[in-house]
Amino acid sequence: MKTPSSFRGKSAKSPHSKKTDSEVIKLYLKTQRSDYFGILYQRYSTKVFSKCISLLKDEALAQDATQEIFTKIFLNLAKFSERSKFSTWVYSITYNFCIDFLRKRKKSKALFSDEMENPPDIVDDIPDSELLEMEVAKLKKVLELIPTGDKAILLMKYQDDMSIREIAGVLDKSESAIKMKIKRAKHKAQNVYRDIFPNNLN
Amino acid sequence: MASADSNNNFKKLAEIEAEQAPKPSPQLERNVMGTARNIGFIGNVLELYLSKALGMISALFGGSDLPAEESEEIKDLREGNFDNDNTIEPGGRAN
Repeated sequence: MKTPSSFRGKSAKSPHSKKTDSEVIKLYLKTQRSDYFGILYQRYSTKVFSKCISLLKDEALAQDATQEIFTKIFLNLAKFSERSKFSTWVYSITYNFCIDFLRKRKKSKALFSDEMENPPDIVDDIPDSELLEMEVAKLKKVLELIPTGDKAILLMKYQDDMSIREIAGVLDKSESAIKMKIKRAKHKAQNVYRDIFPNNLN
Repeated sequence: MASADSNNNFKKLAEIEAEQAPKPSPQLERNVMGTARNIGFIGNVLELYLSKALGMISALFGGSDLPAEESEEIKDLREGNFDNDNTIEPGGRAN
């Protein structure tokens, strides 16, 4: 059996390292050689792991989650259709797994702000630029303080450029429900920002 | 839709977090690749032997593991080509 370090060395020098994700997937499906899956692992494991830590807030849980997520990716690789980018598909599985995990663990506790409190009717939408141009350190602080579901939905939309339809698929909700959740998450983020940085409004 | 990446601090945050976050352990890679190899192996075994195993089970329960090919006798019975020596007429008399 190859050790990870020898495997890493091979894949780094390999001509396949320049292939696109879908080319690597096609090669894997054709040959069933796990080395090709290894290339995908090398490309995405750090990002998936980092997302798991960010959502689960526990390194050991994130390790377990990353392993299960890659097993899911491996088992479903043949079902990947190129309607979306492979990275989007991988992150969908990541968010789906983490949100499911948190729901099961927290049981009755809600993950989204609109599940916790009676949400007011939101009419005015906050411009995207207000969130996108928030100072990085402050944005990080705000995302730590809003409910995990709200954080996940904002990351899906603004960090991973997932479409409303893709987010709806991950959360198993209608597209209009997702639009409302995004609005509420943005309002929650803005309120938290105003609370913790009252003298520093963007 | 998100504006250009240069104005998107969510993406900058992702880059910073990916750099600062601990890297997945080599053990995790071993586990993932081990699982992939095992599943691949089981898949290959099933692909190779499952059809034969199903054929054997089918044969054990009285079916045929070959494509259904009717024997001459069954074909004759179905088509009504009775052998005159051994058949019994509807009236009950042997020929």
